[in-house]
Amino acid sequence: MKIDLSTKIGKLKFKNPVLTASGTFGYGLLINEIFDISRLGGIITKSITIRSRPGNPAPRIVEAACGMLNSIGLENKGIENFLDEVLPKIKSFNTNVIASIAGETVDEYGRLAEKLDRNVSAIEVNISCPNVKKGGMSFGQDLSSTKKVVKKVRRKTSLPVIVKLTPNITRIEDIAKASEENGADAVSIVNTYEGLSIDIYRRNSKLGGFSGGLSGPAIKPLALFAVWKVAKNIDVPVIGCGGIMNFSDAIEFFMAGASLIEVGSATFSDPNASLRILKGVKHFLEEENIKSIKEIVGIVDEN
Amino acid sequence: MNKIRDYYSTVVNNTLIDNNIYLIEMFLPGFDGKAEPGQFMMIKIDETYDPFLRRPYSILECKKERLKILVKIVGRGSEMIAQKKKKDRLYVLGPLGVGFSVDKNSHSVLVAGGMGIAPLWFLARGLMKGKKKFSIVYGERTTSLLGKEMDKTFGERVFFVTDDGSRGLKSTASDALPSFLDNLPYRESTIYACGPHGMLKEVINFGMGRNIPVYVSLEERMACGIGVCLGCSVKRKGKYGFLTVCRDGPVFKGDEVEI
Repeated sequence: MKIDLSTKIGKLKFKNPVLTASGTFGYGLLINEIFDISRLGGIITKSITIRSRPGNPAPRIVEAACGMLNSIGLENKGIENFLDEVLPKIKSFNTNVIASIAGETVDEYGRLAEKLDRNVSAIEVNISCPNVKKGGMSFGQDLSSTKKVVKKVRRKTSLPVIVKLTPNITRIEDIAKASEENGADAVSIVNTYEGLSIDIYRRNSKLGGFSGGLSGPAIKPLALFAVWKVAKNIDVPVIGCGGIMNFSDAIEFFMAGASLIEVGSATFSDPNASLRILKGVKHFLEEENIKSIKEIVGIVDEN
Repeated sequence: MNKIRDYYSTVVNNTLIDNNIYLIEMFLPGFDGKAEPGQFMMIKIDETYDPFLRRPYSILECKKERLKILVKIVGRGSEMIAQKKKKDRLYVLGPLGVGFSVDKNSHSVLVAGGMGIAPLWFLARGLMKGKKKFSIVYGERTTSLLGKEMDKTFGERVFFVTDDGSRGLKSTASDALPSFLDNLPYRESTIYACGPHGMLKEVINFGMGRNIPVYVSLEERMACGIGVCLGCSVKRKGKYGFLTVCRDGPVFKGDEVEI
């Protein structure tokens, strides 16, 4: 049986719905040495900023029960370096390359989108990073800032615009709706949950940046619920993300309403995770006699 | 560089060799046995999600389809690895990172503090095999069975230092290093060091002061081990930006990083 795994965001076609989450896959170059990443539906780059950022002090990683806290702080070499050094190497990947962008101001988001226009397959707007002092999550926690950022990016590019949302808010569905109304072609749900871990002997946070973002299977039920809440409220596709470790986790996200998924910190415990999940999804559909992934998207709802 | 692979491995032997320290030997099907001293492996403890992350371990020794690591119990993850028995399975990803590059024209001085011996053990075995002259300054808190093992394997090449004077000189490895070097009959030396943070800092400062090349193997918390999470960044010395311990290191030139 031929299984149709293809899907779309705006006009952009995806050969399958498995993407890799920003910040967990670099720019794809290193993992491409481990497996052929062109088999994936797409990759989302580490967030790119206007200026080079050194990131947060060490330690940047601490383990949590069934997950981890990170406080990387958007370390990257900036947009010019991305365009000059990185892009030429990743342009040839036979899959969608989605650039994640993070600004300190609304204007910076606009400038980043403008510089990336026509250079990548789509843009993911990161308004949900919990580990930076300026910008990041503070945009995604405020309705009017969200509107301004999305509107600005929309005006500066013809590429599909995906907005990555923070779960650290009371009503994520409102932020999702505002993103859609201001021109987003899709929303990614969710970025990490803000968290803390304390070293009781040093009487201080275990992280150099104090608080961090929780990811991994620990957050899966929370993320899945957020996807379900949002998907029924908007018409544009939802990209589900949060603790997806295997194919059955991925299927749960599709059934809750996600049209695509992002594999995130699973890659840290297994660099082959995204490919393994893609194979598992395909196998599940075959076994269950489901011809197209679209048949199961959003199939689960309250009775 | 060798291709990175995830080997579904089997424990062949697990021996308690010292208080809380285990020597684990594994069978890695398909592993060609090629790795540089200083490279490491990321070990997945089991199939469950808790602990979530793999743990990095220096390669102590390896050959075709075989790997030895040294595990000291310092927390829950290492305790779970230490409890593995013969025939237990583990996923082992590697070999990872950049190892030591040996300057063949100078005398190698290996400076190890405690468990910092692991990557240097591998280096020393290689030097021995290549019939190269080298010395080891080995510092530990007190006499240990690990030290005894060093004595057995490397004999008079090891200069022992203990905090309490129970074996060799009563001092620390970094304090003992200057006079040790002064007494060596070689004109050119290169230092290869691994151990506690403070020790590495002192060794780097000493080397830079005397114009002796120093290579250090660093340890940092890491999530992925392959350079994508940027969790293990270390500051570049004199230049803006960071290097990753897992991908650019773990071995660095002493004047390359700020520690």
